[in-house]
Amino acid sequence: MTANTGRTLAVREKGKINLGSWLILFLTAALFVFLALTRKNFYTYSNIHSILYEVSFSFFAAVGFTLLIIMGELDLSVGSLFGLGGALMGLFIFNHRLPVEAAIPLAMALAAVIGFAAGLLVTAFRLNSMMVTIGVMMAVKGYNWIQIQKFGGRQIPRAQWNFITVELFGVKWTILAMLATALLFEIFLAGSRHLKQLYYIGDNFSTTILYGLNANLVKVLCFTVSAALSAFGGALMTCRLKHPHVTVGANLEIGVITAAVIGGASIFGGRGSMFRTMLGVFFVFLLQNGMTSYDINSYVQQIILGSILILAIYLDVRINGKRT
Amino acid sequence: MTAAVDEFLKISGITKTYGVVKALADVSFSIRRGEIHTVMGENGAGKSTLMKIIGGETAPDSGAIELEGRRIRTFVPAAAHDLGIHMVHQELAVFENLTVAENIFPYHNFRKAGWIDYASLHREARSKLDLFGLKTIRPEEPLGSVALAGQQMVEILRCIVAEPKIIILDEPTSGLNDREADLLLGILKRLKDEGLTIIYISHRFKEIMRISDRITVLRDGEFVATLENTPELSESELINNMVGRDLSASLYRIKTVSGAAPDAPTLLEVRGLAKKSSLNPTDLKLAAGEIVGVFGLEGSGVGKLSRMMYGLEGKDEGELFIKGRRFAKINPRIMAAERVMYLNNNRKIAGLLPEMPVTDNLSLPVLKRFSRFLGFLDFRRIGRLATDFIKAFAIALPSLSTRPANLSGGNQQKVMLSICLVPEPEIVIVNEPTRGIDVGAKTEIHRFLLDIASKGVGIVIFSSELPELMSLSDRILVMRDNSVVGEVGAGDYTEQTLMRYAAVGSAATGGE
Amino acid sequence: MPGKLARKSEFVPLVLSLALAAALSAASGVFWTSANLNSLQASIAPTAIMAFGMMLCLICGYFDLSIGSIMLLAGLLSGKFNDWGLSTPAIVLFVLLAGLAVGCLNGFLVAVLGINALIATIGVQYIGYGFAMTLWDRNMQHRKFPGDFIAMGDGQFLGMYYMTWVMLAILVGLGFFLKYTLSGRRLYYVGGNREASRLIGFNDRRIVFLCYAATGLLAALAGVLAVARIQSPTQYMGGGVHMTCMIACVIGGGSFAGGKGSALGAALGVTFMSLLTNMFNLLEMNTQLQNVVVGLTLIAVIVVDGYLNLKKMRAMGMI
Repeated sequence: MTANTGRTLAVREKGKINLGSWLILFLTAALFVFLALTRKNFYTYSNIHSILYEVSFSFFAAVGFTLLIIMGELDLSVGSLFGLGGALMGLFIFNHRLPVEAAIPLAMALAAVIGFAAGLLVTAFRLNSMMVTIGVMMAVKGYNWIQIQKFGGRQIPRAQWNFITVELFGVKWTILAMLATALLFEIFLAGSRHLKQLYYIGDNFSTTILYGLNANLVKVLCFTVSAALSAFGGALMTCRLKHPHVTVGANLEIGVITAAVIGGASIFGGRGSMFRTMLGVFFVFLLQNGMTSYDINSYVQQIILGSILILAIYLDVRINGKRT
Repeated sequence: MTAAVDEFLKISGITKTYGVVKALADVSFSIRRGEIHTVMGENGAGKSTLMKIIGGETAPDSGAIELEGRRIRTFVPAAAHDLGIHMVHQELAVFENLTVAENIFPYHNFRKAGWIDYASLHREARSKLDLFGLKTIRPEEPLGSVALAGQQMVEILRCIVAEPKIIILDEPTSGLNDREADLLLGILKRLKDEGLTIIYISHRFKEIMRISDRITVLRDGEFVATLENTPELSESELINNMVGRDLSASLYRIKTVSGAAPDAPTLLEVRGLAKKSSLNPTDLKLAAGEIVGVFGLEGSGVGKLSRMMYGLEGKDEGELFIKGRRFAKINPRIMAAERVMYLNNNRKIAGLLPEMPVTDNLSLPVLKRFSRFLGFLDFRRIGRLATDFIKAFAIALPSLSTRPANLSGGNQQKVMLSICLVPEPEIVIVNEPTRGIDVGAKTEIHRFLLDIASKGVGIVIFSSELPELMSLSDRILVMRDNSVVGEVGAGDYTEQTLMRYAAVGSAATGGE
Repeated sequence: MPGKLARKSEFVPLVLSLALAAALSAASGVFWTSANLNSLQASIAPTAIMAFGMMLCLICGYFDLSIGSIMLLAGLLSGKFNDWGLSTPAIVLFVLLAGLAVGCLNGFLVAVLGINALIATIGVQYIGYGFAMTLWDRNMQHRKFPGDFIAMGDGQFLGMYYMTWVMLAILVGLGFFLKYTLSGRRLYYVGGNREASRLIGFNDRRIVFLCYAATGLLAALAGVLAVARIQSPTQYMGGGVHMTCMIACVIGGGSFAGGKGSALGAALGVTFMSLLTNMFNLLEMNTQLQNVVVGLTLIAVIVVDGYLNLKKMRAMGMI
């Protein structure tokens, strides 16, 4: 299973084909073909483009999440921090009359502070990261509601959201940004010591401490990055919707965990790939799109998605589990 | 009927291997009804494995255990309990969140109309505690607030109230002070007088000689002798049995001359390293090219010293000098930066990246050195380095991408040693460098250690194997009761001398 | 002996609740009105019933984040069964069975398959919500339950709702179970030291499974009582209640490390949390601000709990 752990010099172990790492590609392709064959309007440029457009926002909530899951930490606050990006956009644009180019970095910075604090608590007190981030999720979600309700559906002026519609080569720039981000992280995860050490930390935390890595610092930084990028995605999403909305980022963490785990990451750490996480997010959205096109009720979609999550985690436990 | 009494518990031909390591080889002896039977031997002699088998926690590969002439066939703790065999572990299996009384009686046998009757529970617990003379422990208090010694007594009490036929005590006095140990030994004597059979494991010679009826010595997984504890039995005889290997023909060549140059500069100096109730102030000096061995039986403080020297465990006091520079704060990051490396004693817990390719393992401590623009790693150089190390250490690998998890123990250990040597350290602290690996890998690792020392690297080696220490070290420090009690230089090594220091704290043969 | 009382783990939530109640009666004139006390009861009783289940899981060293969905499912199933014309006892019976089934599913995922308790129960929470909402239709809230069903929520005896009596009955029963039966004590052995509990022959997996099953049952009961009280199902039942219960249990003496806690502690913890909510209402603060406070409280509780465990481990020399 070398493929999931970044680039290595050596030749693959002979005769071993790793199903796990190709699973997501296979699933996505199968679902894609199925929908293309059975749904009339599916295989059109505009439909695929619009799915990718949706994916491109949510993907940013999955970036930091993937970095953290590689180290065996789970960040459940990504959904609400995604929403926070939107709430803060409203705050800065409506209340402080800031231009969008200032609002987005500011929103990211504030979110980063929250992520940094969460990371600090997790590492300093050796807390379960899921527990801490559930608390963060609740608190932030509450704040988002309060803020966004104050705006009362007020629209962001066109001049401020216009940039989101920019296209390059006939493709929305956020899609290109997503692809570039995934590619960049993938390359760094495979080849640069800064990100490659995440796999080492995830494989055996104590070993990395023993040989002098500052693993706690790395974790705190990744919590920070996770929060900032989630807020970035949410801010962009808000620009697309043209107004802050409370549903932005709602239950996104479920989709993101599912995406990362079916993308080959393990909740036990040491495995994961940014590119495959992106495919995982695409798969989740494709599935939702497909289910909607089959007129499947959104609540039933929720049942199906939740079941896939539990199944994926179960397989993870069976394959990678040091059972507890 | 003496046979039945003599062979109350009959152990015949027990063999158990873990991987390539033989933990027990054809061990046979018997335990009498109503005796205190001590099993002793160096660390790794196979005592714990044997006790686990008797206690039903693991099954032997071959051989038989018979209790009162009936062969035991199922090896699970519950079955052993049913037969009346109970075991008190060295790592306590107690419930700190619950009261003393509930720890003594986990099955709450005192009910009134189905409800637990706490009054009688506490009364019964009180009377059991009184029986042991534990006046200060109250049945109602949470066990977590009781001192370690008390917790130990409580676990023993839990076994005793089950009215067992045999109880096994694994180093019960290791966490106790003399007065507490005294109390425990008195209780064991009384239990014996009441007809209980006790199997006792300990390193403390004095108490062994005081309470045992018979003593069985194991060495390297083999049965050596069962001795009657008569007044004629001397400590020396026991020590000779424990260590009496024939070293002339073995793979070990005992060092007779120190390999370190007398004028070699001091690399590392430990001054007054101490921690409350686990290490008394300790000094240690290491010169370039020198190998200093540290020996001690379990619980003597060797483990603490090794971990505190590298900052893996906090210290209360003390400082470290590396090539004359003072370090009051010690942590692995500082040590690694100063080119001090640490070979961990338990490769399963830390020391390897089990699921990462060997190349990644080897590059871990030198990531910075092999990174270029933006931190990108120079995979070609890492690959070359890995190939060199694998060749130099004769590590048997299918390919460079093999993961340590799939390697044998010996090869894992060699990979771990390689990781420590990749940064070209000046000082290496090695902790049990050859635990649980086969003889071939063992000699190779010894050769590597001697080799790097000859190139000027200073090595501190912590080991529980005397022959290993004697063949590697230029001098050996011996620890007992959290202090260094003696130092022996190359040329003066005998197993008896070293073991005597470790066991009784002095080299004189007269005894205390 | 006041010192002895202060050492009890129930002391903290008791003092907190009393202090908050005192502050509220000083700050608000309507605190002691019967309307407010009734609404307090109606908030405490179902939440406490659910917290009892959470406490069972916590004592074993686990948690259940799906109880909110189970409560919602119970409420909407009651409405559905009512639409089908089932009698009140039948509605209650089937709803409780449904809750038990979800609880067993949690137990299966966690105790049998060995899936991380947080993720498994978050997944079930998500699925359960979806499943419950497929039962939901807008008209449901206009159809009335039969009188005897409503009476379960609305009826009073000696100035207290039936549901409060039910809660108190469970409190006493569970309190006795946890304190005076071997089966109850076993939870503390498992939560205190799993390995050791196995060594003395307790079947830890079965015990954990049963705790989850009981939690599902209790959450469904809470759902039935709550829906009877508000007289018609709503889609907002059970939102965030898993967090409230978790915090209440930890404030009430439970620990994420397991092995601690009591039914009384859970009830007192819930009382405190309900008073807190009541404060928000009385002082007319934004209800969403509650979530912020609850989330921050959760973090604080986790940190304190984690710090205490860390200190204990340090003292034992494990780190």
